[in-house]
Amino acid sequence: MTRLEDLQPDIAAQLHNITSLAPASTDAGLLALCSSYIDAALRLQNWTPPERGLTDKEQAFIAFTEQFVSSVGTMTDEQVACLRQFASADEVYNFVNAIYVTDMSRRLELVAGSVLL
Amino acid sequence: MTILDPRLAAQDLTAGVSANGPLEQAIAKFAAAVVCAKTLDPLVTELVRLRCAQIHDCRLCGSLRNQEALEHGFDESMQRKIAGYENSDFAAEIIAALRLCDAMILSPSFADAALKEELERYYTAAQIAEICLDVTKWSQQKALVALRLEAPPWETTNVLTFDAQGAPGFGGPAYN
Repeated sequence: MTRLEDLQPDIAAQLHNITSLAPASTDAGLLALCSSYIDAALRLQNWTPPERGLTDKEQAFIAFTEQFVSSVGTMTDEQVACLRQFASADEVYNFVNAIYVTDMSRRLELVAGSVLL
Repeated sequence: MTILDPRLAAQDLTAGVSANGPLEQAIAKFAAAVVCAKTLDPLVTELVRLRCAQIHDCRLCGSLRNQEALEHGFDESMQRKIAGYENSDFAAEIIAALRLCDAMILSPSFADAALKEELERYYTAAQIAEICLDVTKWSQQKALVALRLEAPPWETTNVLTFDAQGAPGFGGPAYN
């Protein structure tokens, strides 16, 4: 992100702020798990779940993340309802914002890393 | 317009905790900083914004037209060409910007040496950075789309404005 920081320092500072805040605004462990999925998906790699397997809650949040990353416009009511079985509306709302920050900041890092070398 | 109900009820969201909570406020500050960057032609910015709206299926973004772009000659024939931009008569620099947009929102694997070279033909490094950051900002709506909280409160296409601090405003119908 260094080149971006050189070119747009004020915006890069705001971006750094939201990427720092995202884990504090939601279940940090769950976000880290879903972030690992995003990292693999954006690099077109297979994602390997932890050896211990996934809880039902983790499976629901990973399924949501997969849809968010690949095609948010075709997200279904059921995919969000599934999250509500495990989390309050406030928790879901903050998780979704944290996933946006993670998804787009990772995309920015990858793309800027290629076209702004 | 497709009818989609919100997936979270407004009354279930606690103001200052989730809606307008610390993360959302910080995202708004990031968004404001991005729209205050002005190294690009407003037409390029608007076409990239509308490409994001199209791919993310954001009903609110799709219902808006940026005031500055309208003043720089944006019209609806341009909007209609965005989906098939690769085969359109858009200028080469606009197609390059839309390809960068697609690399950001569809697959970062599209960002290769050929795209870098193409972008450098038309844009400075600061402008390329601005396009990348614009796409990051215009994709803020992904969160609202996921929860289907992005239905516009109007039926017609409206004007989108930003004040000097980057705060958005809505200026009534874009066309008479």
